[in-house]
Amino acid sequence: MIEVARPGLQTTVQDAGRFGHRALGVGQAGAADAGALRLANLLVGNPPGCAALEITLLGPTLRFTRGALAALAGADPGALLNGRRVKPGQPFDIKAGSTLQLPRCRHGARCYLAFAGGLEVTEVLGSASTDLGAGFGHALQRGDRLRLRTPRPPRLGRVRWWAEPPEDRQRMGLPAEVLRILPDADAALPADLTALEWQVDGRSSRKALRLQGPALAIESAAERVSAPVAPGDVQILPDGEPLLLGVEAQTVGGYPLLGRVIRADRDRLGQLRPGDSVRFLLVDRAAADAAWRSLQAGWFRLETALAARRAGAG
Amino acid sequence: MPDTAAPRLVWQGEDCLCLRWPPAIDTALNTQVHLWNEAIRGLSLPGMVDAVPCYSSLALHFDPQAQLDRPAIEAHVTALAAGISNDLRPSGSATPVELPVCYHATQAPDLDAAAERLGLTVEALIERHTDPVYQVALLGFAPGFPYLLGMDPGLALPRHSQPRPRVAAGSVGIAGGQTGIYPQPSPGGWQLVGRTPWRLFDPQRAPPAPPARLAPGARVRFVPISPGRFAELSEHPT
Repeated sequence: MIEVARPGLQTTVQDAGRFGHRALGVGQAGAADAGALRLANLLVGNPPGCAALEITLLGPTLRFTRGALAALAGADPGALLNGRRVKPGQPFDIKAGSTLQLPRCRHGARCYLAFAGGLEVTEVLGSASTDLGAGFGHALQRGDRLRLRTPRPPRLGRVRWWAEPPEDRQRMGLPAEVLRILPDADAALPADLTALEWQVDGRSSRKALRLQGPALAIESAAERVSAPVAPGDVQILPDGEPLLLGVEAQTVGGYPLLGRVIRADRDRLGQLRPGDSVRFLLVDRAAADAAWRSLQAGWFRLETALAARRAGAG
Repeated sequence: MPDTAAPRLVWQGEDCLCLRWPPAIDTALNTQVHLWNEAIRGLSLPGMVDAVPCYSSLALHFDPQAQLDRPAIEAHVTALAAGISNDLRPSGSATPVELPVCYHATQAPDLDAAAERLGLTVEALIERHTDPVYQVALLGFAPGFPYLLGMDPGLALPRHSQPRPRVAAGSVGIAGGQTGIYPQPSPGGWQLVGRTPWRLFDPQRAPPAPPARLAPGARVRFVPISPGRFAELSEHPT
């Protein structure tokens, strides 16, 4: 059993997302940084989309009445296990009676805490993802108790290596604030789009990131009719500011579309903090596909390496 | 009437193929969207995880982890055009769902003011709101929220300038020329003229019953009921 002593700013259970129900108005939800969730799970030997905790900026304090094998990935929350520092990217043992504190993310916005065997959670429409907007699940509260699915795995011992999520080759040399987007076929793109820069507004959530900065011109007069949208879509609000749709976005939206963040860059949306800079780089589909293939190859190498480590450790 | 001919195929990002017709809110055009939706579901395209019909567009979402053969997908979709005509109706829409709705001030806080604003008696408003067979254009905004087409244009009302912090589950509202139903309690700005005792969305409803009582493309008729009958039929938690 895991007891929530302090809940943190917004700690939720997330998995790879809820698919197949968008036509009913049920969005995808799931981890805002799917790569970090995947890495945390791989580090403890779980399938990549296993349910884990998503921690937002200020993390929880958890008490363990049983032992567990755990791993953190994503933003570093400065975690302390019984007062001793534990870092993202490495699996670690938690003994019964331990306290794990996750104070705050200093870079990036979200961190994932996975446990070997995964969390025991009631699924809604095939997924354990919390969707606050839809009313599926809730953010952790003080006193909540979480159960782990499986008995405690064998002790791990000291781990002297760590792993980081892969990046695609095409990203090399690109500044951190750049998001690559595929422009929408019906978008009126400003000529100087790539020169513009915005800051992430405080009114941002898993639903959407609001950007503050230069206003984009919106094509006039055309009747606005709601149309399907999905995470990664960039909409233009009536005041001209862009809105980046997050994993908890609604299934339809009525604002004009600028384009969609490419798959290889979508996890970055989950790590943007209020005040962070954002710029857009327009790419074509061939570039987006190349980035995606390179990223997939990176994951394949990482999974192979982690499997070899597990085999060696056993 | 807008052009209901074959849609344009537009990739929205790498992993979503959107079928776009000229943007319009129109029942005949929306019927075409549902016909295409039905035909595409029959294809079982590899990697497709969701098909989302909207007013005048249809999004096919693919697994973001999948490698896609986009030309093959486009060819499969394009080939459907020959089988879809303006005379067809979606298969699930033959018999309208008869949805009980209580039009009474105790369940509908805007009913009296809406009638006054429209220059109608409450009885006339109810008669004109229950007369048409509506079509579920899409579900959106919240899980199971149906946007209904077919309302009498004489009942059009603007949204409230300040949304209510909490609208009761089942509330039937009017916004502009459309009517819709709030499945769960939520904030909302629509003018509330009635309330259904049915629970429109329940994610735990046992299969094969779908979580949403009203499917996209379904047709609906409102049947007026008394406050007493509302209490008898109510599926809402008290």
